[in-house]
Amino acid sequence: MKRALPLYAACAYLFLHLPLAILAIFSVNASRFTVWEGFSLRWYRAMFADHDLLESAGNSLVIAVAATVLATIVGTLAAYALWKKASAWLAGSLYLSLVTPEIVTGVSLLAFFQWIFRSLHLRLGMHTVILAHVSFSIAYVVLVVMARLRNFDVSLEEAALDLGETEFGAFYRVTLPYLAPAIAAAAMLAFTVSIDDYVITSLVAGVDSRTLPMVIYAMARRGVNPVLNAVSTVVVAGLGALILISERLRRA
Amino acid sequence: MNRRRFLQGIVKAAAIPATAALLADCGANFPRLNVYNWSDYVAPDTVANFERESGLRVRYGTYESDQEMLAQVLGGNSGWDVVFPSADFIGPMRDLGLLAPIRHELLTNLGALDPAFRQPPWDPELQWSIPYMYGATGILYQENLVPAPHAWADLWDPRLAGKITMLDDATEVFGACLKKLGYALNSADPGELRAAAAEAGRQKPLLRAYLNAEVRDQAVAGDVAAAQAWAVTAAQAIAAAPDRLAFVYPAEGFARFADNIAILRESRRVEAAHRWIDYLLRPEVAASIVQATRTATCNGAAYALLPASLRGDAVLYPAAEVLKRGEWFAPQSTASQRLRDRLWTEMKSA
Repeated sequence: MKRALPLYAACAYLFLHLPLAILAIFSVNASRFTVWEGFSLRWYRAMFADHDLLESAGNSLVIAVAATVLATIVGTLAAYALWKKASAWLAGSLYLSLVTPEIVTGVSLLAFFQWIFRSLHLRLGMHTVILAHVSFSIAYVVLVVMARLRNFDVSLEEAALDLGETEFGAFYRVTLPYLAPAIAAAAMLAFTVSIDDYVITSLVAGVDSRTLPMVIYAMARRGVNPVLNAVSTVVVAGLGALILISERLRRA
Repeated sequence: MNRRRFLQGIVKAAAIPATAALLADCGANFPRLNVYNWSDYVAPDTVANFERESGLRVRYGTYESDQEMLAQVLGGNSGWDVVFPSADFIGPMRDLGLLAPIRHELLTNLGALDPAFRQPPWDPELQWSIPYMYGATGILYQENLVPAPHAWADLWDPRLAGKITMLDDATEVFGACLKKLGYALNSADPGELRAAAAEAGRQKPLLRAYLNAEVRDQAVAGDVAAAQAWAVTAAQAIAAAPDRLAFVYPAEGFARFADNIAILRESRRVEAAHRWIDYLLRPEVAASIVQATRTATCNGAAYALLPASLRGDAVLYPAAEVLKRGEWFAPQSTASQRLRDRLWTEMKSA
């Protein structure tokens, strides 16, 4: 049993990482097909020459940053409020948005936007994607910040109030610094979820706000293309770095 | 630090990404045109040349099926200006109020259209659409297959199990099944449709996948032995692998289609859209597109400019006797369409 455990762990990690490793290896393959023909960076060069891809990557980043900032602010305040006055209904409705299938969320958001835009004469665009991302990221942020808040002793805040702080000052100078690592981790999570999202984004994106996953999916549908390998390797490396930072912050 | 300053700080923090996003959106309002086309339907330099010539910025998006395009456009708020629907979608889209009328006085190159497409059955006065490219559906297959497929029935061959694909389109698949059973392509008879759906259901276990133009790379790579494919896709595949692939127009009959240019009613750039259509109607432009993408153009003047090897291409421009076996798709009545949709959903999810 003791000898089997490391073997089991090795197999589990292989199962997780082998596909990505193969992807990365074939991204530096000189040939178009899955036959090794030599080391080459041509697919990375092609990736940087593809205007559409770079623009969608830029869109993805702008949307992710905007959605992260907004979702973190709203989510943190929501978590604090729910902690102060626990309400099963409100908390439950927030978590409901977590478990709702993405396609359902996406279609409902699309219908909502179309209904509003009919009267406001607006179009689908970056603003709709950001709003959609904020709406489903809030639940993630609330989850992470609540977990940290559960370990917070409310008497610390009450002590600050006793010592003459205003309610708001107590929150700002006692609770918020305590929550800082959780807020940072929640922001990283919201960022990752926003960059990664495909289903909801593809439904509410407009003509000019195509994101990276949408372009990758369109390329993948048309056939084997090692530029996809290059893009995936870069994205995975970037997200991996972010996750590492997030883990370090969480344990800080 | 008090609550007011904190709230102001938050608003400022949230305002920066919000304005960045809004600016990014506004930057998209320079003189421009949003074109939504099938993939691989223009030459690599077509859009760039148009941009240079007209000073408009073109946002060029692609799709793989009419349904995908319709899903985006149906809301009336998609942001696209010009789309390329198939012939049997023009009537329904017009009835839904999605199309803007085409103003012939803005199109100087309209005379370049082939006479066969000047009064097409789906739009006799060319009021809503301009024919762009036409084609047909047939069987793309590996040349080393013995015996070579020549009829729809050959796609039900159990020896090819796992290496056959059909188009991911209810009208195309049911069309092939109806022709296999000897019925009309646009049949609305419930009994015939059910029999066709049963045939499709019998074929489903033998299939590798339902693929539209995506089958091209798989056929070139050799993963697919026989596929129901559009003639355009087949021509592109054969160009990529000339000695390994071949195309045949099935003996029982086949579907003909034509993709048309249409302007959406929601578009606010109608003049720019007409300039784009006029540009595509130019014989040199259409000829360069055909040479780059191996499509069959409805532009008669462009056809005359093509090299002899392309003009004689049996896949794109089959002989008249072959074309006689083809039928144009026609829009279905509501009841018939509803039955077809239901049978397709039942078959695909079975």
